[in-house]
Amino acid sequence: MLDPHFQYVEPQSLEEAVDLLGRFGGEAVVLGGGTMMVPEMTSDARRPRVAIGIRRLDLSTISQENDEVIIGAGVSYTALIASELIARQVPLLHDMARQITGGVQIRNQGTLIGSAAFANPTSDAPTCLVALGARIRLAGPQGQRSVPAAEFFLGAFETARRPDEMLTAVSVPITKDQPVWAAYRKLKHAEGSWPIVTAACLITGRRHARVAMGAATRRPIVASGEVDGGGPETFVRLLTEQMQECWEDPLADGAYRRFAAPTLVARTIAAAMELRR
Amino acid sequence: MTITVKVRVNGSEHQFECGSGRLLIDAIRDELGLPGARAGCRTGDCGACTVVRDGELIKSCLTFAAAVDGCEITTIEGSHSRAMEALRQAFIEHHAFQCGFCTSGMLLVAEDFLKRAPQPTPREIRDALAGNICRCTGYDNIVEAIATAARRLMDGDIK
Repeated sequence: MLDPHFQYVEPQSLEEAVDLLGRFGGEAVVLGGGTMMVPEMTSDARRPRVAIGIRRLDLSTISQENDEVIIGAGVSYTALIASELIARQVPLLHDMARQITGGVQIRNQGTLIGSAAFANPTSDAPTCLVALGARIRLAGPQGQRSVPAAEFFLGAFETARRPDEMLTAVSVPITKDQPVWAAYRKLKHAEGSWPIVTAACLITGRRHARVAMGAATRRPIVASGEVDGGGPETFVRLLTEQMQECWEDPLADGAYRRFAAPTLVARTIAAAMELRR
Repeated sequence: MTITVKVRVNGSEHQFECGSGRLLIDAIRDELGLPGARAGCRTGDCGACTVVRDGELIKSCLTFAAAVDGCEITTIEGSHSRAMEALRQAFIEHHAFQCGFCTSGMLLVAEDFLKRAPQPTPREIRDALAGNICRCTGYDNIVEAIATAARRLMDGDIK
């Protein structure tokens, strides 16, 4: 059952939240939608001294600043799906959010940034953020900084976040004058099950593609290049060359993930190229 | 340390005291005495604890009661829309429950879904139920009941 020895607090400002993180350091958890962290606390797998709710921090906005789209830490998957700005400028996240499992309730509660912070290798967010070349914005007692997604995800449930930092937003680079085509696909055994392999493909400027793959590995891996050169096989090769230790869980062992990954990557690239036609 | 939570539940103001770790589902059932929402898995998988928070469906095992201070909550007990009455009637006629544990969650999800998709296909109904598990596996009857309710709402064939 829940450890009663923690306190739930809702700071009124980012400064107050950062102050709490500084005081409690690694013994604080930040709750986005709570879809991962609350069950962890319910099962006693995680026993923080303080749980920080962020709903009063004004982090639930999606905005465009010059050549970036900024998505706040409080933005739910439902808000991503409803955003016209996301549909137009970051279609990969629109496609991904529509495929979030767990029903409309989880899409209403769960957040992109909470998923990034949790860094479950089989979650949808890490692979997509790496494919987008997004940056993760962090705030802590030592100030604010941003880290490229490809350097943020260090391993299974491991990120570059310091224990006294929280994620405030992600920034996604956009190409204002060029069309973007994107597809996110995952291999899963049933509607509600965690993916075996995830893949995201982003095509910009008609020819350039960035393809990321996750769930088969402990952290997302990425490859970029000209999409019309060697076809999907080039990206499959570039990605599988980077596959070292595979992620394993009760749903699939590493060998099966290694076997299935090329097919899913090729299908995802084909889906993005189909949109370009 | 106890926290005072003020919420508007099913149209009336309530206030209760609870600890930081009190889950919303437990507060709704025990502090508020509303047993319609069920605590099933406590992992966010089964959907039996579904309630409406500020107009959006949530799984109430995934949030602390303290985190809904100031919110408006609607449970199955307070849900009396025209669509809900049509769904209740259709669930009875189609025997869309066996043990009934999942029913309040199924009804709330179906009501929310029919607002967005008044003329759904069976496939769309199944997709809409993706976050709710019927452990008796009585899905066919649930899907048929929702289809019946949708048809009657479109035809105006409901009291």
